[in-house]
Amino acid sequence: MTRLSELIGQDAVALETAVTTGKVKGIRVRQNRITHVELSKVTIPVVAVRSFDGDVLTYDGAEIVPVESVNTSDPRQLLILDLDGNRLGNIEDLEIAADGTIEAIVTKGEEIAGTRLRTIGSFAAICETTHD
Amino acid sequence: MTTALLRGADLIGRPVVDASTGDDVAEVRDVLFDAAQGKILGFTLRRPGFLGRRMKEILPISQVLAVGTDAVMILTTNALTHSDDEAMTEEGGAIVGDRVMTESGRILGELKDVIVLGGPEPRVVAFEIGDGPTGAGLVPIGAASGLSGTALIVPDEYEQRIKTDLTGLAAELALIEEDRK
Repeated sequence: MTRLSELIGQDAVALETAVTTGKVKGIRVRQNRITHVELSKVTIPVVAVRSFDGDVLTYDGAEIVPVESVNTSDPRQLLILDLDGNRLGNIEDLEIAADGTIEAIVTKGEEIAGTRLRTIGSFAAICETTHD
Repeated sequence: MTTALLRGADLIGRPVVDASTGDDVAEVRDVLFDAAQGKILGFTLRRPGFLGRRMKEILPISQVLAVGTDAVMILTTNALTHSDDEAMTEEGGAIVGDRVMTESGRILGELKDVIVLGGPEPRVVAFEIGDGPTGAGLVPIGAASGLSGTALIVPDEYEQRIKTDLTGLAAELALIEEDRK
């Protein structure tokens, strides 16, 4: 398990060359999974990433096809909305499993289970509404 | 979470958010309200951001996923449509300034704003009135409300149900709902 705050800025190493190719700059999330990772010079699909659990991000550089039109971002401080259009807080951090699954959204007041996450976009993270 | 009571004027400028992407696709420019039926017809839109230009598309209420305290939610951008329906234009829909009166003809004031119950089935539940004998207030819309000429009509007993704040109105609406059961 890692956190977004640890992932952003992490060195990225291409496994076939063992070369550090840059740093992690952003991610794209759909449902509760990371789908793409933005590095310094290229955006890669999550299938190329070996694990999110290391001290550096290692990826299969020989397998990737650089994705140029995918919107990625560092979503910290982004607004969180539920499906009723009500604010749940702002993203302070994300807890990320080794395979890129978002386990939890960390806000100032609480943690929101990753299973409630539907997507993270340019304006807000969208979560399922709970009915207390 | 308790469904919020929202002023129509507070919906102006509210972001319209695509729930499938988390992107803001528009802002609310105006609320279109059918006074005869007491229903929200939809919203006219403008581009997001400062000085956002008016959009040709509108958002019919049938395509709204929910109206919340911070955003109007849609499932996808397919919810935005063009409309030639006169009632869906600003000229056909807006009724601020109409008189609000009881069934017996007692004028309560002029319509200043509508009060919307948010959530997945947003609807108008009260009028905000002013310039009347009791000053400013919030009047529940009631089952007997209708339109006559340029007036909005509420049941006689609702004159006693006028509240001055949204908290009081929420309590009054709960009582009205209990009376209906």
